[in-house]
Amino acid sequence: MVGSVSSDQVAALARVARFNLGGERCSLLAPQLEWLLSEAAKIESLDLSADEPVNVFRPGETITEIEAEGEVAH
Amino acid sequence: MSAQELFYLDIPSLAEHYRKRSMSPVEVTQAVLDRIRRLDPLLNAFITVLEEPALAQARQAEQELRRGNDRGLLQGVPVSVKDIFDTAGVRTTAASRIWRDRVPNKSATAVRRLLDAGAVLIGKCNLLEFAYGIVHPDYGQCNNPWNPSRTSGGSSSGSAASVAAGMGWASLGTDTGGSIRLPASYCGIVGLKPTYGRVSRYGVAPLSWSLDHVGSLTRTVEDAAIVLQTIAGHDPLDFTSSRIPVSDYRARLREEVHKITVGVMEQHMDALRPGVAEVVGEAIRELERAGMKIRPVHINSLQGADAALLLVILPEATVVHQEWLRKCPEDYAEMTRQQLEMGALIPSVDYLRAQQYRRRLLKEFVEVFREVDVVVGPTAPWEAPKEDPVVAAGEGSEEAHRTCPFNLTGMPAVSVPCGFGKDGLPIGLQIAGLPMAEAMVLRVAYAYEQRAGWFRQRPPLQEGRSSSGQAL
Repeated sequence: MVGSVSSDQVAALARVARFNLGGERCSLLAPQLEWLLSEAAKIESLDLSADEPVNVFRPGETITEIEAEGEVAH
Repeated sequence: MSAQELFYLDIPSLAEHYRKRSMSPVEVTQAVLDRIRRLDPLLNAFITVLEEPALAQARQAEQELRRGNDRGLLQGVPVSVKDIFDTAGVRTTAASRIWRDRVPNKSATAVRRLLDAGAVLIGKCNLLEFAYGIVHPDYGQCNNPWNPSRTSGGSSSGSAASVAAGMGWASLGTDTGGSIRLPASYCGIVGLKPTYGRVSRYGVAPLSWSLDHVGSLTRTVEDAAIVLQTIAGHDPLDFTSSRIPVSDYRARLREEVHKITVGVMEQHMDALRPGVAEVVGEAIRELERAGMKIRPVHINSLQGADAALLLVILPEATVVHQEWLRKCPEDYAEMTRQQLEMGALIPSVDYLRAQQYRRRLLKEFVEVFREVDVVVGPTAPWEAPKEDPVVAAGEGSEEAHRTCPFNLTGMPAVSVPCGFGKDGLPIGLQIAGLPMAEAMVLRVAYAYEQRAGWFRQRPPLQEGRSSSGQAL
C-alpha cells in the first residue's frame, strides 16, 4: 500500500473481512496497519517466486524435500 | 539440607532422595505448596493452585515407589503447566475473561504424559492472555523473581517465574514467537522449544497453528532433557505430530563436544542494550574453551523474519478467535483486541508471501548447517523490562527478533542462562539446531551450563521477604 492508511480504508478492509469496526476502532488501527504494511514490504522485496508457501508445516519433511529437489547447493 | 537447597535440587537428585527414602513426595509437595503460599502474592505466577489433587498424586507416587512401581525420574516431582493446557476437571482460563469458567473434560496430551510419568501437578500458571503478548487485567502481570518490579516475560510468564523461584521443578509452556525462551532468559532458567511436531499440541489452546510449539521451562538442561523425553513423540490426536523416533536426550547430554562447530548469528548481535553483547560474547568464548570451533554465520533473508512472524501470527490468531471477537470483543484486554482486529486486515497475499518466506528461511538455514552443528546468539536484546511489549508493534518485534526465526523454521532452540546484565538481571544464550536435532542442541547447552555454572545462581527471594524487603 502506498501512502498513509486512513481509518476509512481500515473500515473498508474490515467490512471485506466481515468485521464491523466502529470509527474509533478504525482510527486506532490505521497507524498500526500502516506500520505493519511497511514491514511487509521487507518480504515483498525478496524474490520468493521459487519458494512454495508452507501450509502444513513439517520442518523435518520439508528439509527432505528441499534436499531431494536439489535446492541446497552442495 | 536447608529449605532453599531442597527447592533448587535438580530432578535426578530429588528422584534419588525419593528412592533412598531420605525425602518423600508428600513432604516435598507440601513444602512446595507452602512456598507458593508465601511467595506467590508477590510474584502472581499461579492462576490455580491444585493443593488437594497434588497431595493425592504425591501420596500415590509415594505408595507406588514403596511398592517398587518405579515410573521414572518425574515420579512424585512437583510440576506446573501454563494455564493454556487443558486439564481434565480443572479450570483452564488461558488468562482470559472468555475462558474464566471453562473446565475441560480431557487433558492435553503433554499434561497426560507428565501425569502418566507420575509427576505431581501443583498448579496452572499465569500467562499473557491466550499467549498473545498482553496481560489481561483480570489476572495481572507475573513479576520477575529477580526483581518483582520487572516482568517475568511472556507469554509463559508464570511458568518461568515459578520455576525460577523454586515453586516446582518444571513447567510446560508454549512458544509461538519466543514465549518459552524469552521468559526463561529474563528469569535465568532453561527454556526449551523443541522442533515443530516433536511434542503434541493436542489440548493446548492454539494461538497460531503453524507457529505454536509446546516445550518446557526448567532450571537445568538435564531437567529439560528429562521433561522432553517424557512429553515427546507421536500423538495421533495432533495431525502435525511427527513420527520421527525420539532420541535418548539425557543419555546423549554428556557426549564429547570438541568436534562441534558453533555458528555465531552475527546479525543477532546488533542492536543489543548495553551489557548484553559482552555477556553473550563471553559465553561464546566459553564454548570455544570447551573445545568447540566458532565461526560466524550469515542468513541472507533474515531481515524478513520479524515481518513474516506478524503476517502469519496475526491472521491465524484472528481465525482462531473470530467468533469471540464478534460476540464479546470487550472481554479481551484492549491490546489483545487490537491485535485480533488487525489480523482481519492483513491481505491474503501478504500472509502467503510470509509462508513462502518460511520455506526460503529454512532453506538458508539448511545451507548454513552444512558448515555448523548449532547456531548461537542472545535470546533477547535486553534484560527483563517493566512490562511486556505489544506483539504487533516495534518493541514487540524487537523483543522476538532473535527467537522468531526458529518458530518460522520450526527448528529446536533453547535459552540457557549466561550471566547478568547492567541492571543485575539474567541474560540468556540461545542455541538452535536443525529440525529434530534436540539432542545436539541440549548437548551444547549442557556443556556450556556445566562449565559456566550460572544455574547455581538463585533469585534473592528470602523466606517471608523479597529482595526489596517487602513482606511476603
